[in-house]
Amino acid sequence: MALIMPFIMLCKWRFGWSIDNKTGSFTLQNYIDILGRGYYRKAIYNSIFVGFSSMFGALLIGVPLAFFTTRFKIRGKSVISTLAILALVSPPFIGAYAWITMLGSNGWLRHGFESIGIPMPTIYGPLGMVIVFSLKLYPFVYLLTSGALSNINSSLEDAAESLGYTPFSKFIHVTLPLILPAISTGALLAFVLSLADFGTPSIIGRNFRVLSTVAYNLFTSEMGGNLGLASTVSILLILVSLIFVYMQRIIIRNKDFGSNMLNPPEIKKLTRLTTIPVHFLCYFIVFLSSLPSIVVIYNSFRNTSGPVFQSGFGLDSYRKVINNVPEAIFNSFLFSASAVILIVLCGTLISYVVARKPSILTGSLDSMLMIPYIVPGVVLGLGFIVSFNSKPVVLTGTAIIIILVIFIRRLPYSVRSGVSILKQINIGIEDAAASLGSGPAKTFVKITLPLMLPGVFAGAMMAFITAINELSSSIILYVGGTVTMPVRIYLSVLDGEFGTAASLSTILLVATGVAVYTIIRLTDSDERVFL
Amino acid sequence: MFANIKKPALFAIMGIMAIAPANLVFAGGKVVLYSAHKQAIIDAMVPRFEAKTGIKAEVIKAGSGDIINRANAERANPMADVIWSIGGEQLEASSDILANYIPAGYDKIESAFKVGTNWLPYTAIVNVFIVNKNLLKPSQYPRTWWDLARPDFKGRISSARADKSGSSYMQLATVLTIYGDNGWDVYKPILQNFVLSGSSSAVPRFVNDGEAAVGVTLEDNAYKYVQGGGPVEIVYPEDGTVAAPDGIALVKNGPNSKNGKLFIDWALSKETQEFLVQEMGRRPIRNDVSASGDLPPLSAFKVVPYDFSWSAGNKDLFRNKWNEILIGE
Repeated sequence: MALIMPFIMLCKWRFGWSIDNKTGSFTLQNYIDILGRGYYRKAIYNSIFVGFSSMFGALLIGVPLAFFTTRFKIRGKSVISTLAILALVSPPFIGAYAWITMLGSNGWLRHGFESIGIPMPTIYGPLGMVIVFSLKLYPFVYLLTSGALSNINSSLEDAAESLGYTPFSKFIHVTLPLILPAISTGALLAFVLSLADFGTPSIIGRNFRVLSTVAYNLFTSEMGGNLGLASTVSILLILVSLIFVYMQRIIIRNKDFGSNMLNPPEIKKLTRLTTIPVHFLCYFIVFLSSLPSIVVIYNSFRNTSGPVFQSGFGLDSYRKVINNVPEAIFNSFLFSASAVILIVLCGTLISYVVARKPSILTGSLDSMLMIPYIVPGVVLGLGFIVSFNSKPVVLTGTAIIIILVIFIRRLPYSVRSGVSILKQINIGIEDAAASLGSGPAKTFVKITLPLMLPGVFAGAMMAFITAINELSSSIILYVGGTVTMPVRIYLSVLDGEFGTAASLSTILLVATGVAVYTIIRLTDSDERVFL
Repeated sequence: MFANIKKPALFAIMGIMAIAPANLVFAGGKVVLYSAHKQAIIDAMVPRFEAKTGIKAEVIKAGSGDIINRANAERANPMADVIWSIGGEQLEASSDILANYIPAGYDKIESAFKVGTNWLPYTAIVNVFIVNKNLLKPSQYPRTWWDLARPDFKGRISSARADKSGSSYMQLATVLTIYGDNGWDVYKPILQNFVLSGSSSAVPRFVNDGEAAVGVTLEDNAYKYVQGGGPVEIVYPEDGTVAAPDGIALVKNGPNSKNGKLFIDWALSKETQEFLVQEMGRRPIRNDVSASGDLPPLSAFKVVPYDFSWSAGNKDLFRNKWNEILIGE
């Protein structure tokens, strides 16, 4: 622990300092300017509206899916889990672009519905954003809730049943409070990410302003950004997010139920009557969230001439990219796997300290860790260049700097996930081990860690998927030897070569899918029900 | 899961830390180029340069905004030698990280394009409208900048953001140049008709796909879609447009400045310029190279002179005004 903390603090200070360095002087005038303008107030209001709506959308999709897949025998459960997780692998730009080709002004799906007399609104604007965000972010809720549901002591539910609770009131009064830490953590991650994401709003939001796009445009102007104003908007974003972090902390404060998990819930068989609708619902959800990927895969086989898609199908787009793919795939997996290992090691320990040794120090550490999660990756990447491009530490041009940025950006997944699972674990078990003479380190490794595994796993999975998809910081940091798949995809998009962008995305999607599916199968056969 | 994965991956991390960037041996050393060129152009040009000079060229490709931000962040210890093919406005705004250089054959460069501080013209690009032929009849095409303000175009014109994209800022400055004192009165209703896009490369894409009827973009971007057979057409504004250079520049204190200079000499040579004109749909900046036959000559439409120092000098003022219109809507 003592070894890891300084390292984290160093990272935090380094980039904290560098952002300061970039923004220069700091006055309250920017805040007065911003809060005094209807334009910016509207952006704040819009951000919060989209954040909340997307969060509820993600909950509405993620919680039932998690409940059905953990509690009932569902055919092809690993496939459902894999597809749900893959919804997070939305290729940069072309994921949102896929929605536009379906539901834009000229979208084929929209025209299709209209031709049979069903009017469809376009995907542009706030409603479209909420739909896209909900379908993109529900995997957070799903992963965390699944982990929590498989970790409940079913004696509690059995007791409720024997007291005459109906299945529904049992869920509301017994199960729900037990998994609330996990659900609210998933909701928090979905809320904050929908607040911080600028890619989706800038493509399908059209003129609907949110804070993230305002900040991003100010930060990344080609002709030198207005960094004072940009950082002010970012700080507002961070404040809104932190308010929510604290709200979630209050929600789960008194939820230390601490089951002993000696009695994992059984997986029930569905009755003849319910099996079809439940299966339909599960598959329908993952189908909807896979739609953009399906469009991308379809596009990857279409013939192209320069940027324009032609009629007919072929493998041309694959032939064009295949030479450069092995290196980029290798880098993507190497960087994200390295970052995830660091994330799991540090995140698990930090979550333990935050959950078990609450103090002002650990509380503020917890909050500070959310900051790199919210700040645009490109800003963080530039901060790292400023910090690590002169003696004594020169890291620019190396793989390490890319891994470090991914590490610091994705660490919150592991920490949040760890904290929420610790809320479920009875501290009495640890006390018992201690009273039997086990030291703190031994107790953690032998007792707490095994019990935490579902949460650690969920955190690692979220971190891995988002790490392999990392673009906005990598594009600033990559050099010839450290190019990754998302960078290559983005560069194809910049060239207007959507065929090759689609084929690269498909390769990344398949490779990630195989990796995720393998992990799920391996962990599933391990007697423990992770998902 | 833990026990299986931990050790190999830790070794992998240590492995990365151990491997120093391997340099292939090129007789002339190397040069590091930051470029926004299309990958296909980079792939075609770099081997030619390497064969000619014996210098290894390492290219980092990214969007022009990413490149200029990155070069600025690295100013304490520059990693790049040359910034290759990004908009003149971006280079002008960051001219303090660039070094002045007079290349071989400087006298052959069209003097109208010699407008940069510490950067050189590389190719010339014209600002145009791209229209969707399925959505608009020729009689409905916008023919002038002022036409973009027509009420029937409300929400149907795609444009990048002038506070973010260099080319979009140049389009704003173009309108101000043409209309003088009335410039803002003309530009305001145009801006209010725009659907702003986060990325300038998306503009012709949206027009090609029928998501927008009209786009304001650069000629070479639009031309790619015409070449690809998309349902689009290029319109040259009758009230005038600018033919402005994109630039190439030597980075101040770059690691291989000598080779950087050689690269710039090569990029501006007659032979390279002829190749660019044939392959890229861009226009030459040398007066001894003629434009491609596929594009109309500059004399076929009205070109207005563009004052780079005026547009760069008024950057904050113009962007604030632009923002005021947006805020006030």
